Amino acid sequence: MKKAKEERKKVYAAKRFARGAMMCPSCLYTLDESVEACPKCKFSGQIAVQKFPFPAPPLGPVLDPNNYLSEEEKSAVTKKVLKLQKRFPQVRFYNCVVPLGEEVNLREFGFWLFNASQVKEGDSAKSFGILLLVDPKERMISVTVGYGMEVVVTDSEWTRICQDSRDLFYRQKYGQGIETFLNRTFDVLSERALAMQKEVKR
Amino acid sequence: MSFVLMLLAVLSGSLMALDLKSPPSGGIYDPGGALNQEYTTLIKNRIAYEKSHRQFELFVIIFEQEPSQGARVLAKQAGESWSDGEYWSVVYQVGAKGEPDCLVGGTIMGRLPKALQDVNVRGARNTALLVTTPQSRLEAIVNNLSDNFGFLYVRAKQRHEEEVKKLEVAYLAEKKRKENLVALGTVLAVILVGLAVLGFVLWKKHLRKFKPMEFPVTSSRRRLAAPSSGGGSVLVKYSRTH
Repeated sequence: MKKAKEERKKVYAAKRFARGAMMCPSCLYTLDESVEACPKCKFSGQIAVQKFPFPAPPLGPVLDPNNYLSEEEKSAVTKKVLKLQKRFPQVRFYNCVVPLGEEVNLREFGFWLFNASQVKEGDSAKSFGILLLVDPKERMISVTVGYGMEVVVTDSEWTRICQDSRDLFYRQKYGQGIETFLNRTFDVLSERALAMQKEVKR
Repeated sequence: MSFVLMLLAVLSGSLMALDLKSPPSGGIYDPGGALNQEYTTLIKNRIAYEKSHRQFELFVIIFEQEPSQGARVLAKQAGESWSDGEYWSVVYQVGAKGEPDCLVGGTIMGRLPKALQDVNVRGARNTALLVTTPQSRLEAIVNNLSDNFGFLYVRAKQRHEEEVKKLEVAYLAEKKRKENLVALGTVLAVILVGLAVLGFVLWKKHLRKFKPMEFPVTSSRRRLAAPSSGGGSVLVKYSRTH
């Protein structure tokens, strides 16, 4: 028990677990760790703030300013999120449904929203955060995760998880689509948690 | 003097006690010589036949005088003592010319209804009393008893065997019932243990399923001047042609 607690407090090198490359959310150029801006398109946090020059809404289990979800669906999604957060205490699930239009790059928007938004627990809580963004206007889904979650699930795995919910979003069943996304995420996180715990014990 | 000797001889004869420990030779106790050789042989032969063929033990006692405890009582004691206890009869009389009587006994005999025994005993005796001479009467009663009770022996034996079989069947049934109970008990115990083990395994699985899971904390790959996330490449379109 004490050893497990020590294991948990320990900070491991990201390289030990990282399975995917880092990419610029704007131009998808592959990045080194320490760059302050994308060498190709110069995208950075500051550029993102300039592109979206308004206060970021606080992140929560459901962010749906245009009420694409009914109250029951919001309640069901919130319930599911809380259940998942009990199972994975470090992880925070944020689900946002907002029509943006073709001029907005959804990945850039996700990057800006995740970094600029305030959360109740503070910025450190976002390390294992997962932001699901759904744009009903452009019919697009994107996922942005915190630095801690990057090494757990790769972008290609997130893509596969999103594909399972496509039909539901297409049929405008946003509540069910988000719940399906959360269910699949639960399965993948469970597998990865076990695998990483085994890796840590080695 | 000769009278005294004769008297002594008679007295000694009459006082010769009936030996209850061992049966008389040939089954006939006749200290007074009431039966002549011919009748003695006939009766002994019949007694021997019944003994070997039907396990029916016959004894003939001819008391010279009435015993103090009574002829019937003593005859009964003799029958119970001399026989192996299963199926016997005693024909007795007091004096050479006395009226013969008989009684029956034994464990197998006891299985026959009392009324049936009495009828056959009376029948054997009454029929024999029709014969005139004492020796012939004795022979007749022995023959009648043999005939009646020989037949009844078979019936009694059958009943005995039926009862034994019933007991056997009942015993086996009880044994089987107990064995079945033991088997059922064993099966139930195994099932209970199995259920307990299954319950434990499911409980452990349940615990594992709902146990909070954590990820190891890693050094962040901070980039693009972003404090919380470096963004991602995930973008999935959902349209009719997806």
